[in-house]
Amino acid sequence: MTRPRGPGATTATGPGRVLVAVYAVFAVAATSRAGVQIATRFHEAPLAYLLSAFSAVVYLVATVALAGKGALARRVAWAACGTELVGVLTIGTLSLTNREAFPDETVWSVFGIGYLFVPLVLPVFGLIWLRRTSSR
Amino acid sequence: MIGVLATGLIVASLGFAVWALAAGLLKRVPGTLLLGGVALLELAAIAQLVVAIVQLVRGERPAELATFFGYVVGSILLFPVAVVWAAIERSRWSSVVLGVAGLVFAILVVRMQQVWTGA
Repeated sequence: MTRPRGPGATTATGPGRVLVAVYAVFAVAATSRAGVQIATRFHEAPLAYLLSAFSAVVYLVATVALAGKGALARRVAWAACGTELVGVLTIGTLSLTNREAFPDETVWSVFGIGYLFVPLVLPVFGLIWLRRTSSR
Repeated sequence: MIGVLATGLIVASLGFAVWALAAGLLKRVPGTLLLGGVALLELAAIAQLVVAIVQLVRGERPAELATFFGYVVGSILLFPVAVVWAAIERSRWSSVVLGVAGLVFAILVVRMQQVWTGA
């Protein structure tokens, strides 16, 4: 099966539709979680909860960009998935080496163990899919 | 939350997920039977809301009330959104999208039980 390729090609087709769906689930989950954390107990772990909110924004942006069309959406999707991968690797490592800074769980704690490590593999799939659907 | 109902729902939604993912693997577009499964799970999600409201009226309280209802609302919206997203481009991937929704539904029911009992 051939699909349109190139910088203007949409990513929300074929397996990309599943990718967008999973991203949307994480966007909703991370946003809700960060919202509850910040609204009910922000003072307990401000750094962890701000990172929670940051991850929520990254998932929201990635969902919209991967669902969108055109060169701009594609560039934003690259940036969002890249940020997400760096984020989950950084926070995952820090949450293991520097436990007191992360007294409460975030989506990216211990590489997303609370979410069956999906947060770790999701950006990898995202980046692979962006590469496969681009002309280069 | 009724434990037995929740356990039955988890098993049913996981079974549905396996069925839908298998359909995707076999390159099948979601059929009437699969959509019937979606409808049943959606009815179960609404039934859970009713059961939860009845229990609240009787004076039972979940450990985390707001979070619990967040999950209930999420579980009710999940399948309609998934069906719309799956219908926009009908292919084997529509079946996979419905399968993912089934997995998410099972996780939501598990979380509902956890926040109801405070575990």
